[in-house]
Amino acid sequence: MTVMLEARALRKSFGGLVAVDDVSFTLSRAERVALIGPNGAGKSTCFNLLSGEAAPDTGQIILDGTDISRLAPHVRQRAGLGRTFQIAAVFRSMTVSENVTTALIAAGRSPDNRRALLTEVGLAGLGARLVTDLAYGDIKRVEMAMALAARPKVLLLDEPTAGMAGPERTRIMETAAALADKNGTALLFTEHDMDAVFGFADRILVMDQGRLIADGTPDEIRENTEVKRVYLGDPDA
Amino acid sequence: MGFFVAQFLTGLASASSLFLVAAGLSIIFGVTRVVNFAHGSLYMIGAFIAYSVASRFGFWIAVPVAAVGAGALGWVMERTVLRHLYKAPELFQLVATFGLVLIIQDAALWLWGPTDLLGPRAPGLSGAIHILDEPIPTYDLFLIAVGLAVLGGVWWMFARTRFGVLVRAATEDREMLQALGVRPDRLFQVTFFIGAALAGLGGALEVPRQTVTLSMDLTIIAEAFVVVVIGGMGSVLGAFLAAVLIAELNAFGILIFPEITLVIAFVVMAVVLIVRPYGLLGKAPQGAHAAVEIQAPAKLGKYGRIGGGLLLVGLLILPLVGSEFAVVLMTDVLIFALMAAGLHFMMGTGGLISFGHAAFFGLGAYGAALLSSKLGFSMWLALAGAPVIAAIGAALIGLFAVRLSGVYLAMLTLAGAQILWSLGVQWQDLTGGDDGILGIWPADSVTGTTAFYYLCFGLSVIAIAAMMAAAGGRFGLLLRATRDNAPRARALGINVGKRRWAAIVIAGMAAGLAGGLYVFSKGSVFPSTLAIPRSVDALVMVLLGGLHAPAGPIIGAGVFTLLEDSLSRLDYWRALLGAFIVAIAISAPGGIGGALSNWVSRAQRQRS
Repeated sequence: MTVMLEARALRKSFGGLVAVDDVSFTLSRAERVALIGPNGAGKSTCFNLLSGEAAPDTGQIILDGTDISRLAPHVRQRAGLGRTFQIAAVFRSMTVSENVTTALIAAGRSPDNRRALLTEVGLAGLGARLVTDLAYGDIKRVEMAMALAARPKVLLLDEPTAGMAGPERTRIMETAAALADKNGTALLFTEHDMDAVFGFADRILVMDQGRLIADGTPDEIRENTEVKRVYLGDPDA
Repeated sequence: MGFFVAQFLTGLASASSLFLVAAGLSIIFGVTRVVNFAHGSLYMIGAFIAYSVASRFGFWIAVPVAAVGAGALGWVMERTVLRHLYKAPELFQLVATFGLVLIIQDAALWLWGPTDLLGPRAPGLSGAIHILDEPIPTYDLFLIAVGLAVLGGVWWMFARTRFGVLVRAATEDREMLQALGVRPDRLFQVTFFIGAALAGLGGALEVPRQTVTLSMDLTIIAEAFVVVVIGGMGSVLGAFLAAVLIAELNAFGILIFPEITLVIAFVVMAVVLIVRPYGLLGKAPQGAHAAVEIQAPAKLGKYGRIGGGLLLVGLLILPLVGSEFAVVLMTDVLIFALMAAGLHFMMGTGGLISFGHAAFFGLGAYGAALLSSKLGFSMWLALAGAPVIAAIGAALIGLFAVRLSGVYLAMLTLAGAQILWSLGVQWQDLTGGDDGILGIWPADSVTGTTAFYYLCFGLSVIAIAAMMAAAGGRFGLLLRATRDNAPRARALGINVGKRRWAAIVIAGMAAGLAGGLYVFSKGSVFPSTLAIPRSVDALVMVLLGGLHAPAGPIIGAGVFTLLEDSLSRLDYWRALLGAFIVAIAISAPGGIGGALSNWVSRAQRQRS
């Protein structure tokens, strides 16, 4: 297995609060990894460190052999990192097609690829619509198409199913999983929906109070007593 | 030693009024998220009221009356104009308060006349006290005490009163405040009153120190912006520290660089913005409004293209059919359309608000004039140099500007333009000061009215068409991406800062070329080409034409120039212009271009 992303002893504190404390993990090619933990566990901060919105106090982030720990977000993207946001971030003045075209141009690829990209995420035929006229689930798909335009090695998905209703949650996870398989993209996603986590992750990372307390397959995590204690709030486990 | 102490105390005394004004501005911003350009007008009105009341009832009665009067005016401003704009994009809030500046300026002209007024000394405090053998005016010591007392009073209000707690809560977290069941409209009204009263108090207290003039408003607002940006928007203690810092730098800087004190303030501001983008004690704004509406540019459409073609043909044949006066007027329109097109490009497509577009226009104008008069360049070389010089200025301002957005950017660009304006006035050896630079005439080949008109026509049309193409092409798409959602743009690999910087440089070049043409069309250049009203003209042209209409700057420059030509013969036309600006901001944010394209698309829908 080729390691695509490696976090080495990441640490980040805000004043006296240590939000991320000595977190290390790896992500392999085409692997789907979930990052979970109770509120305030440090998932968001960890995500921001990876995407470049914040810089780690200490530790390194290695993307396919390149140290990207101190690079600005747009430079990390060029190194092969894509992301989606918790609240879908798209260009609200543009049509679906223009959104994807912008992403392709920014990635140095031809705008002619937009149809194929839209078809991949299940939005064929919606290109001419204003992005703000779409249902929220479809806006999330537009964002995913944009994030995939540069064919990233690693794709960070921040709560991909947030704000969506039942069946749509499964469908968007299936889309993401299919694309990861096809392109060999490694996926790292945070998620509150345990069905999505246990249904789609090859591996699960569990954080609590800034620390990584477990790293294993869904079956291992299910049986992990530490995880049950802190995450499920079960003192008898 | 005594001299330095005296100079230090003078600095502290000047800091007091500045602090009062900046504190009011900062408190109002903290609660309402509105940057009130008319805050300097409240200061000016405070000074005028104090002058009038003092002449009948004495200075010490006049001071509180002026504070309450300015407070009441602030309250009226909030009720009549600003409360309609709390949810509007920042641009419209800023522009509407600028409309108020114009209205209040003409109201003051009508009530108090155009002459500078010399107020009374403060009774009982007209003497001086010797400190280390240096005479210190007693009134200066009194001002220092007032500044400290207001700082203490504001601190007490924030820490100990229910109102103060609510103000802090509103500054920190607005949603929470509404969840607690506080009526924001009441809070906003009281805040406006208090902030405005502080400005009025500042104005009244300056009456014994300086003459009361109609230009006090814009002078103080530029300084107050610098102070608030350095101190951090919403932070009263920050405003105090920054006011002291600026006033002391002025007090001591004047000994070393007597003519560039404002430049020192600007350098400090620039340094602070690099180290701490939100000021010494400020925090990153949360829940900020969009700078402009996130909207697609309107399509030119069939009717737009037909209209554009007719316009081009009309402009081409104008000298054959029109009077000489019409040709001169349309030369102005073409030059201003080019200037406005630059602003339209950075503001519409880029979402980058500038209140200092005159900086680029003036740099082009002075650049061309100096190249021609001092270096003996031909008109053609000077015209080629104008956009280059403006682009260099834009590149420098842009270095700081790209880190900022919305109101911070508006204030930075305004401060930048004010610095250039003060250089234009003060650096007499180079710029001729208020006398300007005269005798800059076009080359022989384009010396006639008609020939020069065609030169302006050719250059403006080419430059505007190039910018329209850029806005509609890849550059525009990526620039719009940074405007719509900067984090998303970054995550796609777009270098947001660089892209914005490029937009500012392009806008600067267009305005610079316009400035160069302007100087050769008038034969002279004066500091007014760099002054705030010029920046406002550009803004009004863009908004009038429509921020998201491709032909907006052309329509806007045309209508504005023709309106100005007919209205400026009226005595109080600036107040009319101000009312007009306020009306656009509140009720027609799409401008004429927006209304036209709505009208065309509605007509088409009815037919189909």
